[in-house]
Amino acid sequence: MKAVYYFFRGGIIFIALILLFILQTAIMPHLQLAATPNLMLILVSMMGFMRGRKTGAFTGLGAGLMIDLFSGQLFGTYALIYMLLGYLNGFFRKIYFGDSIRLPVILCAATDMVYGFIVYGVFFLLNGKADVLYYILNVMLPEMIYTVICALILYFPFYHLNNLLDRIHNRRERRIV
Amino acid sequence: MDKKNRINIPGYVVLLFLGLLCIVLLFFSFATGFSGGPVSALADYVFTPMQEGLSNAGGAISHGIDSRREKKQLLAENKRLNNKVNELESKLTNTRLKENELTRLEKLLKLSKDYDKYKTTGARIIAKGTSNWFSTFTIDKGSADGIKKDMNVIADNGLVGCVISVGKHYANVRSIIDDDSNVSASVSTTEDDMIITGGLEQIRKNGLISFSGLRDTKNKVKEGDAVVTSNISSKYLPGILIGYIAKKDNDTNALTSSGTITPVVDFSHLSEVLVITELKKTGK
Repeated sequence: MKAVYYFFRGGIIFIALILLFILQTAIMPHLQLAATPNLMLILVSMMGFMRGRKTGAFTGLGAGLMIDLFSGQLFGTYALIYMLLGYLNGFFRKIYFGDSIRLPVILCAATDMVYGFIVYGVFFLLNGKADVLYYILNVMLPEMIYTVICALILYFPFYHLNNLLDRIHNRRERRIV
Repeated sequence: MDKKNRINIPGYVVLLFLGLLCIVLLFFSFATGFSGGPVSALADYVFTPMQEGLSNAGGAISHGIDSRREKKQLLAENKRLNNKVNELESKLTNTRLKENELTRLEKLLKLSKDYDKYKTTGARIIAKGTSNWFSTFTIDKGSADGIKKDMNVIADNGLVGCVISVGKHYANVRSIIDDDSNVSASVSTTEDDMIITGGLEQIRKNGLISFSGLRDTKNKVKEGDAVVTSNISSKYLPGILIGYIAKKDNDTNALTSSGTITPVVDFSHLSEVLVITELKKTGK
């Protein structure tokens, strides 16, 4: 019985990931302002600090695998990066209470920046492209700002998604007792 | 809450397990060239159909915004271009005469090459890559339409890139402006070989791609010379136009030169491309 609820919760997050992926690849390129926002990273980060390290890591893995499918890099690269970021966000669950939007914004911004540095380090710095400042100013910062704006819009849907997942969790607890 | 009933796996165990899984995937993909396998079925039946529809909708929105902004600009451009057309038409007649003469002479020499006779199939771009760092995109044709890995993609008579992975109804294309792309090319006038490398920095700053390793000791290659894919490339079919040399500098080793190329393809406004349905024969 327990497994059913796990699958149910996993399924909801999975569907949210699919919707975000399609939004990001098919719609956002048309609404591009110097950069495209990283919508999937918002969900990974939010699931991390709202539901803890494990959910964060699994959401990150799912998001990363979807991106790997279309990226043309070695399969698993993005899965590893997103999974680690989701896990790290999970450490902030202790100071997340859901009453203020400050923490989510700061965490989403930080996560996107860290993601930028990892991608730069892995794919660019190792290829001898050492002009860090250019990449920070022209790729990472625009992406971060746009991502934060999208995080503000997406925070409330995700907040309710989290409540929904909580309710499923509680129902499971009640049945067992 | 009954704590005894809960199986509580510690977070770090999950992290270790998933981390190992990813690393195994990485090695597996490195060793076998695996890029999705059964997972790509998800892309076939979920992503691509939805992306196709939504990309249309998104295109319509941005088209509406653009069209208003660009109307004035277009009218001015139209006037300028009309003048140019007249000028070029007179040139064209001249060239046509020369071309006729050339074909006649080529026939005599039996030299004519079939560069322009590659079979192509049209495809629409349905999604862009997810990151701001790379320029890959997804087209709406896949293995069911005869697309294979390493096939060349062209648009506006110029090289766009090559297919990096194929699903049943979609294919991913890496464009030549991507940081991971290297194309073996040659100058059409002197047939000297060079390597063209894409780069995010270069294309964003001035819309150029860079080349290196051009052996041109006699300094015959000039700015404005056409650059085409070379005969010795392992993936790219020979004779596809890439762009024109914008700037050329001699390297410090006094043997090779490097510089930048203006690509003929407008990479920021691609919506339809042609896939050449022939693979380069490499004798493997």
